[in-house]
Amino acid sequence: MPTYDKISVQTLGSSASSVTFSSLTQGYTDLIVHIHGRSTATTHFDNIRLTINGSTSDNLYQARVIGQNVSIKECDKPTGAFICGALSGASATTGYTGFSELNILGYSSTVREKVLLYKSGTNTEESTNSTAGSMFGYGFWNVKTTAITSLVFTLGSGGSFLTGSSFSLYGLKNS
Amino acid sequence: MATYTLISSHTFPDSTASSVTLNSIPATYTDLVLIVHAACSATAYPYIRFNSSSTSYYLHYVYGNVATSTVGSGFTSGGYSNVSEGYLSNSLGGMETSRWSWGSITNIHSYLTSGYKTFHTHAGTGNTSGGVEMSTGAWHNTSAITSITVGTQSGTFTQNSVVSLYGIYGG
Repeated sequence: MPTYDKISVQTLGSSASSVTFSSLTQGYTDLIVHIHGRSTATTHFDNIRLTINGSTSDNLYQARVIGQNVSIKECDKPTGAFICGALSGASATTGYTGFSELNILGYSSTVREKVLLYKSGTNTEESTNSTAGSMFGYGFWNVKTTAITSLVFTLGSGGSFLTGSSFSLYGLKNS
Repeated sequence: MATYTLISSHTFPDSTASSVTLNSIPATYTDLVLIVHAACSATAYPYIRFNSSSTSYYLHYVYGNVATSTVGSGFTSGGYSNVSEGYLSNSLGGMETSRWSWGSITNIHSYLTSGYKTFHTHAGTGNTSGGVEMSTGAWHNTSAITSITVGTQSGTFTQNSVVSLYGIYGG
């Protein structure tokens, strides 16, 4: 019996500065979010930010590794709302997109803190350093006794997700 | 359409066990996915062993340190050759003793193949010397995988730690 279920899909009919999944069902163990699209920011990249249950004060320990093209390797520790990948910005070639796959472990648990793991790629077609890249990262939401009930995605630039960007939310059940 | 099917899941009922073995993995899938969300009585790495074998594991990894806030530092990579277990982390600071900050997702490819087995793991931990890591691994053994042991290199898993195994059928 399949245990990887689609919960909700949002495909933007017009640009939006945020995308929200609220009143999350608690019937699963983990959540998986697939994000695909572009940002209106006039950059090649724009970080995807995530706020959980309306709070960024519980966002402890973020880390990510970024590889841009073949010659740049970076590691950093973002602060504030979780970074969970990046999308292509308006400076990227028309049609190029970014994507992220985000896993949220134990989102419904009231006995474990929550773990975020994501993989992301942006402008993969580009051949120039600093305009194409991939990253993987980790986040730790330091809340044990409260389940995650809402996810709000925004962009690091403060810009908007472009029309056609899609957000697919899945649930993974281990019982 | 490929989908996940739960094969087995284990929630540690107390804090006394240093490992769990998921047995009788059916030969009906294409690939396996192992998810671990755990804490431990010691700051230790979790590992996997296939079919209880303690030989012939090979790993390479790339790692970013959680303590680093400066872009361009805290990055490292490396590998292990012919070790006794498949580390779910090669350089992270290990599981934490008081928080379930360890998370890992391991994809095990073609677990039924008569060739060597390969896998890759995306892991992270909130330990002060932790961070995020992506690793690839190989198990030089031609037997189909029928069981997976998840253990800790020292200490015991904390109560409520979870290990879940899913099958992916790509047919």
